[in-house]
Amino acid sequence: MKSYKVSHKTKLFDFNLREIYLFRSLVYHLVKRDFISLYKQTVLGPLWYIIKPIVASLVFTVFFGNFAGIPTDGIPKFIFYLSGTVVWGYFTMVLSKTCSVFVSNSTLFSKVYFPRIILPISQALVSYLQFLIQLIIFIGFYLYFNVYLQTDNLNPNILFIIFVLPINFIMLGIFSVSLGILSSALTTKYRDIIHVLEFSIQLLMFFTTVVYSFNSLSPYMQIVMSFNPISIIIEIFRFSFFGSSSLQVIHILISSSVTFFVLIFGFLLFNKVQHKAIDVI
Amino acid sequence: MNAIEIENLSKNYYLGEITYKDLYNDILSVIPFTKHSNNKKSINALNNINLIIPSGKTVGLIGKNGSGKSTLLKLISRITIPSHGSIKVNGKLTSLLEVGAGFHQDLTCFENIFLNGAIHGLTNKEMKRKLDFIVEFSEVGDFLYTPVRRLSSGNYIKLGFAVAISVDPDILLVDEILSVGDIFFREKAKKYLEDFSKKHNKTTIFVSHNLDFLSEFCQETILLNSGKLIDFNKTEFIIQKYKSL
Repeated sequence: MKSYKVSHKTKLFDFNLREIYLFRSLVYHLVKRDFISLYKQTVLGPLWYIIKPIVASLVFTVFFGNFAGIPTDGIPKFIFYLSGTVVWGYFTMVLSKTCSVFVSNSTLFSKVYFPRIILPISQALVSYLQFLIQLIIFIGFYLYFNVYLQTDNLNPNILFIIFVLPINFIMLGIFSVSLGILSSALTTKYRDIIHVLEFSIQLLMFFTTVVYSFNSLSPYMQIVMSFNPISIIIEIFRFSFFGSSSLQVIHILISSSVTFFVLIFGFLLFNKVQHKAIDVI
Repeated sequence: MNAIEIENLSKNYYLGEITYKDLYNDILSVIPFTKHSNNKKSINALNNINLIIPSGKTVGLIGKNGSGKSTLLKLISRITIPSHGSIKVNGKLTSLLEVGAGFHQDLTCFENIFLNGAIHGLTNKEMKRKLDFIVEFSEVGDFLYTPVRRLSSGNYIKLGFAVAISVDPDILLVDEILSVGDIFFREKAKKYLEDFSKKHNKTTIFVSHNLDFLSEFCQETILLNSGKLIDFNKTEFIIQKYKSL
């Protein structure tokens, strides 16, 4: 018996985790649906997942690396930028899809009930699939530079790759979804936020260590940069594979606190908005 | 045992567009010690409804357009929440507000059956057991591995209906869907719903403008008018009352 009671009083901490578990099949099917439908009726199909970060990294190599001459800690420019764009690509994909979740699914939401949080969760998971493919491509290029070309300055930290990197990427998912649902709660009523996000995602890249290195910043700027968790996530990723970083515990503490704060705030706001969202869309 | 208990239920909808005034009010409402006034015009879609629907009944729901029928079904099925009051639902509930809601045009019928089942909260394992029933009932036949957007609108509806009823709930809400499909499918769907409502402890609520259908199926009917509950009584009696509104 699945009984329930609805009332006008919505509790702030009324998050039903068991219900999310009951709808696990839906998560599976939405992930499958999104993954497949992304390349239905395309010739290159899943290759698009690979082409995008490679082309972006090549463009960055030419413009930021060669023309502007931004230092990359002695790391080959191409894989330095690739490591940044792969993480950044995941973040922007999850954020741009989840921020409009109520708006783009309004017809579905007005006809059937299911826990609304299922959609952002499956968005994070389907983007992980894309991320994983890109990660494999990154490792391929990395091995090419490290083993075949015998490039200097590439010192992988195997223990870090095995134990810290997975946690790092889980943090990436948590932060991206949290920021996404936080903004989705706002976009339901004020769609201006969608425009604000579209615009600021492009600019925000320059406040993230995608095309320049964390180590090239002054100690003071490194502290400021830690308030952007994506920068710290990219830096941990680079440290695992390139082996040198001026990252300190304080940076990780600041970035984790920001993630935690956005997570709590995002979930509370999403929970408050989700029941009434359909009335204001 | 009661299937649905509704207490002091009201639902308001705001009129007009969202403007900077709303933003101003919303910002003030989160800042403590400031006065914010919400003087937006609103309509009372439902007004202080008190209603108890016992388990095992087949109940009709009628009213003029805009009387609040669909709003009531949406509130019961948790699509939106009340402005005041509460609703208690005892048992597994499925609502058929629109047939085929949640179908993805690019996926095949087979994939959509599983996706739609999952939207209704069923696991893959449960859906595998129901697959034969759905394929047979919807008469989807050779189209099973074809994207749903290539189905005719009739076949589309058949498939949606078959998936939704395969959930086998304790309480079923149906919003005017028997007016679709050809006469053969309509008879089949009618037969199914008739058998369903005769089963032990199954509760069904039908929204319909078809008075013959209501008097044939439902022992009792709810009458709504401009958001207020007029009466909940024997169907013949209610139909007379509805006609004299």
